[in-house]
Amino acid sequence: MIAPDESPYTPEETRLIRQRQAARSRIMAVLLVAMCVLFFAITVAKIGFW
Amino acid sequence: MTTVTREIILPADWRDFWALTKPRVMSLVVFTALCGLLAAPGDIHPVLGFTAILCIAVGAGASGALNQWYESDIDAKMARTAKRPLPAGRMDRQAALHFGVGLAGFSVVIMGMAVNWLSAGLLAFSIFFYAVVYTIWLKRFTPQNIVIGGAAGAFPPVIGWAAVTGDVTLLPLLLFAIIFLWTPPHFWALALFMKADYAAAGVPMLPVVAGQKATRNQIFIYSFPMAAAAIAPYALGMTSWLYGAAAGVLSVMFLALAFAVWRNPATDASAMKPEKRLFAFSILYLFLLFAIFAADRMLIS
Repeated sequence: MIAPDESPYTPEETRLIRQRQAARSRIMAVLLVAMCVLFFAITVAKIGFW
Repeated sequence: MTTVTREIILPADWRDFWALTKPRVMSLVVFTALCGLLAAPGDIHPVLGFTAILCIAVGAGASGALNQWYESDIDAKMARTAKRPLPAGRMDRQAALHFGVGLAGFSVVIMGMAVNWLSAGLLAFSIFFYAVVYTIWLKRFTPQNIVIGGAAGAFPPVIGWAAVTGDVTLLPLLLFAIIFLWTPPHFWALALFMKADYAAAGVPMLPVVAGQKATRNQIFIYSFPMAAAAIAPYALGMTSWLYGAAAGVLSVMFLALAFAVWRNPATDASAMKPEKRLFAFSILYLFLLFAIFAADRMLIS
């Protein structure tokens, strides 16, 4: 049984997991910013401002 | 002594999500959709045009993800697909399903709200057609799988056209027909030299079910209506001689390669050079045909 404060992963596995989570978070951030820009551009284009 | 093996569940890499969208297939989808959009009469705001192409690309990615979600068992049995994220064990199936459904919903809703609901409806139907009609209903059960399933890949130029005009006329339907009739010779050429893979996976592709001779006959037969569909936009006065000449030359080359396939008696994949040539040329054929078509239409307008 694993104690609550004990990680089931080795330090190397933990590093790999954190690395992947960080990479996915960065991609999500980029995509969210891109979506904000796109929605803004769509709105302005639909209004006919451009 | 007991050996304990522990399975480590790693979060899937973002590159695996990208691979799930079948980027190479997506590139051809984007290209044909863009040609349909550029060839359509009328104007579309560049931002909305970009959004339409983006939604079509994301919709194609959704189709690819849902296809790989459902087919991971087949993919694991074929050398060509065994390294995909699901059969290779780099991602769990539920993540792939959620990703596919999410992309599909996102692409259709944005297309409807930003561009128009006809193109959104066509996009939704094309995703449904690929993920459900082709992947779930046809692929495992009939050698006609890619004949009917080819319709899924034929939708993008129609969607691109509908994004601009808000309707579907004869010309986009001809573009649909070109890709629809191009798909069987394209995939059957591949299936001939990958027959062993398909047979091992239990996929009833035509060479596995009907044999190589029958497949070669079908490739040659299908090439004629495909060539007729390719020349039809010019014959019906919808393009200039530029497209007509290109379609004629390219189609004659396609027919010549299909004829070489028809004459090839080889049963071993290593002796199937004509099949490999036809498969490679078929991609170039579609690319050039649509590029020249779009250029021709833009010159006319």
